Amino acid sequence: MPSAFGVLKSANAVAQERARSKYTGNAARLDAYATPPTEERSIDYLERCASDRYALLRAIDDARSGGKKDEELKKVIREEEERREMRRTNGRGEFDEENASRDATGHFLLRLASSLKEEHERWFVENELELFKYRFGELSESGKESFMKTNGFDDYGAASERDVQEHKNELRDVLMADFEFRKALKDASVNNLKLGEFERKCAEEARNAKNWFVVGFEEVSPLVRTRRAYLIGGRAWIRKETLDQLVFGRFRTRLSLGMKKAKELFKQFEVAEANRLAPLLRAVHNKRSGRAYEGRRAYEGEGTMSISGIEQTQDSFPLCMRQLHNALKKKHHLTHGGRRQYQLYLKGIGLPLDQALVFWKTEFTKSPDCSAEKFEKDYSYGIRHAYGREGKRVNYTPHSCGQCINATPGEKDSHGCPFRTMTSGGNKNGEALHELLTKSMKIPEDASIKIVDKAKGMHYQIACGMTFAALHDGKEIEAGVHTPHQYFHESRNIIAPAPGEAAVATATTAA
Amino acid sequence: MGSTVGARGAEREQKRAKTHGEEDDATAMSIDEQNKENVSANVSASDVRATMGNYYRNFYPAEALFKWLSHGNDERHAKADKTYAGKREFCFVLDKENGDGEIFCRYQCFEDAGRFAREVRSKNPARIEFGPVMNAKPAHRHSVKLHSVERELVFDIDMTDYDDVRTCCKDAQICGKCWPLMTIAIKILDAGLRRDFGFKHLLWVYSGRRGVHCWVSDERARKLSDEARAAVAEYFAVVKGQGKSRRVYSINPMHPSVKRAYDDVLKKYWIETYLPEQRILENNAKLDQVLDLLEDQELKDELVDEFNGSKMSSVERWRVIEERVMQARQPKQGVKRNYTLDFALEKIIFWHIYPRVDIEVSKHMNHLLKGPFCVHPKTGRVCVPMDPAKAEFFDPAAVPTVIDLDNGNKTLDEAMRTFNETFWNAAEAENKERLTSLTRAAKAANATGMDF
Ligand code: SF4
Ligand SMILES: [Zn+2]
Repeated sequence: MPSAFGVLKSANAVAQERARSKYTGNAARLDAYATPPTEERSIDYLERCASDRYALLRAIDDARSGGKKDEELKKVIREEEERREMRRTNGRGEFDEENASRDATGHFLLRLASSLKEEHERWFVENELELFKYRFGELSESGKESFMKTNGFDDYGAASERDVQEHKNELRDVLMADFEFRKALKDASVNNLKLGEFERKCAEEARNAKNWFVVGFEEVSPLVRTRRAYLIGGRAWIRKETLDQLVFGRFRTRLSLGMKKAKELFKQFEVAEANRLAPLLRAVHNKRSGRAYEGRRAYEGEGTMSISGIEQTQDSFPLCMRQLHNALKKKHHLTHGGRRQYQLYLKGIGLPLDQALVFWKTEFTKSPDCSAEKFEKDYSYGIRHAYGREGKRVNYTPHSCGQCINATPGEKDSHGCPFRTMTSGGNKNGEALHELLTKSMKIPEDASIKIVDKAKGMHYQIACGMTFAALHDGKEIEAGVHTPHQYFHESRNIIAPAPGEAAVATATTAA
Repeated sequence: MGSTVGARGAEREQKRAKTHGEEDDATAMSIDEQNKENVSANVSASDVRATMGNYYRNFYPAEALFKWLSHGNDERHAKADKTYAGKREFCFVLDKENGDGEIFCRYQCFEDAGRFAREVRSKNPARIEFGPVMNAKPAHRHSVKLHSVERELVFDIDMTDYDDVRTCCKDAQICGKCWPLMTIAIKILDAGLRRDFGFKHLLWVYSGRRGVHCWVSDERARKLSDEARAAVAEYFAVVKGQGKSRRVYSINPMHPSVKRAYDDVLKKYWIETYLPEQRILENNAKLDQVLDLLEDQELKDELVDEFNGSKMSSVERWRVIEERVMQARQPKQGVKRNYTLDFALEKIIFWHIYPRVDIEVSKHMNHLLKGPFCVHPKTGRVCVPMDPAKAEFFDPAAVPTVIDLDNGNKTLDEAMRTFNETFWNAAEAENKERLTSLTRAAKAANATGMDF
């Protein structure tokens, strides 16, 4: 079984594998990742593959959580692929063997690295699927067909002539009710499509047995959900054009199965590779930090922020953190999600551990429900944990916007991203957000309306960036908002542009 | 307690007086009031609580339920998965001693029916919820990472989701006039699950007060991923959203399954049951809501005028609306045709009476759901199985309460008969058949020397 992950052996310098080398993938332009490449590679190469893959998926994840989809998302993926030379084809559209091999190596390494934790696994599968959809969509019709054939994605049933004739009226109705189909027909017709004509076209299409395929309904969930398939007895009749969905469903299923195997494998391999690949893979997900923020002043600047600095730099806090700060001041308490989000952020803007302990203790013990003993017992551990001084001793990264956005705070919680929480659920109309922006943050009405609109369109990070601009004389964060602490540092650079670190240091010394 | 009921009654009375102002309403209302009394039964929560111990000892069919949840794996059969039943999560919900609030005892699991029955009797829970079958015993959650492996596909329909289309009751109340909304839901879901999805083993259960649950127990249904569960639930969610933003999907034109729901169930219930019982077209606010759905101001104004002060019944009014819409649909020289009218009548019907499934419950394998034969703490009624084919004859007011059982006035015989005859007998036969065919397959594989 380990042969399925030959790439791992390669790190072990298994000499005979070299002879068989040369990875060709399946269909040249797209890989279903059934088998990993087997050439021998250096550890540096593997590390780069893994971190490139991580960065690509991360970019996809950020874009998605920022509300991007369709064309916008495609653009992000394409640019990131190009930047990291991960396109499987060269500029002339020819298959690029070297890139493809790197692509597959990265995929398999990350598959392993993501198999350790359920949340990473979900993250990996979701974003890989998105990448796959994008790449599949780039294929020509014949490319798609050959991909399905070579990967065994084509074992679906064709509808029989007799069945089609028997159900032709229902099939016609399915087509007529299918919004995508209607749209396609409309786009294709020169004149306004008359109702009668539309019905005739649908009937014609429906009668043609070649147009229909029959699969288990479980495999085409998106089509079932939107009633774009005809169902009888658990079998879904789908149109040729919707076979893509089947491919996506199967890709996903295979990937999920692959994750199970990866889990098993990691155990074996952890022993064999205890000193090399294993630590590398373990580190992949822990390096999480804002993508565009990589290499810039990161959260390591511990010691550049003080307790009084927190108050004095409130103007540089992104909305999510102001919310948490205000809630903490008001209630002298934060629920778990809020504590975590705010603790890590404060660490990210440079508050050292000893100060953090004092800060949280001072606030919490203002509440009659929390004595100093209770604080030590129940809350100080969490703070030390966030600073990597307890438990697994991982130096946790402050939450990214994506993480904040994906949080699901309840009524009593104050965390999450307010651009999302204040434009969803009971706050759908966005009025609460508008009021907050205009009243407490003094943002002009018209700017606020635009921001709220963006947020309602689920472009939370963009809305946050616009808020930043509105509060900083129109100056924007070029790279976009990716993590709350990055927002903070960008703001300090504008508000207190002292040389180097001084920007933050002023706030500290002024205390 | 008595006074609250009285106050609510008065409130309703007032509301109705405002909306109808017709004389014959008084009689309609008194019947209505009577019904309501019946459904919410004259029992007190403490009476119910006091009889629960006896109920679990003498009536609760723990063995039958556990057998069902084992899906054949409790059989003495070589191919039965002996570890299956023990990996199911049960949750006992206990009342707090001081009476305010509940304690959820999750991750309970039992080797066999006997142990389950004993534990129920000794713990005497307020209710018992069933969760998924996991990868390991839920009790071992500290040493193994648990995840759900299988679970019946479940549906939950609750009358409180219908408040804006009921004129008779609201919130937790139900009566003979609004209960047919549940009948409609059962009929449509049952037909769809069987015909479209091919499921055969559906257990329908009265939820003890104001709703129904469905447990789809086919092997295929139990093994569905969360994504597929969501897809099935959404497939039935033709009407989505609340209040003014409620939308009807897939009716212009209708998807075959939607059309079937309309032709076989909705059309008939609208005219024969819903309109005469709820009389929404005689109620100005509701009439307004209906006419707005036409999305044709001119036509609406016309109809409002026509009904103003009229003594027509809701059914008669509906006929008029139908006629007017038909006329307006005819192409006229020089007038731009309003295409939304093409499906306006159907839309109104769907908007009001199409099933409102709580899809969140169906979406996740690990969602806990109150099991059949639990007792509703307020009404004391037992959550009895229902025969979907005779859903229209089901009378929630006739469901035995624990007090009835305690007094010996009623038994659970009929409920057990329904359980067996409409559900379990066929499911059990299929379980056995599945095991035999597994053996057969293994034998065949051996014969051909296949490596298993
Ligand atoms: S976009 Fe990011 S920084 Fe802005 S409020 Fe949301 S989570 Fe905070
Ligand atoms: Zn009622």
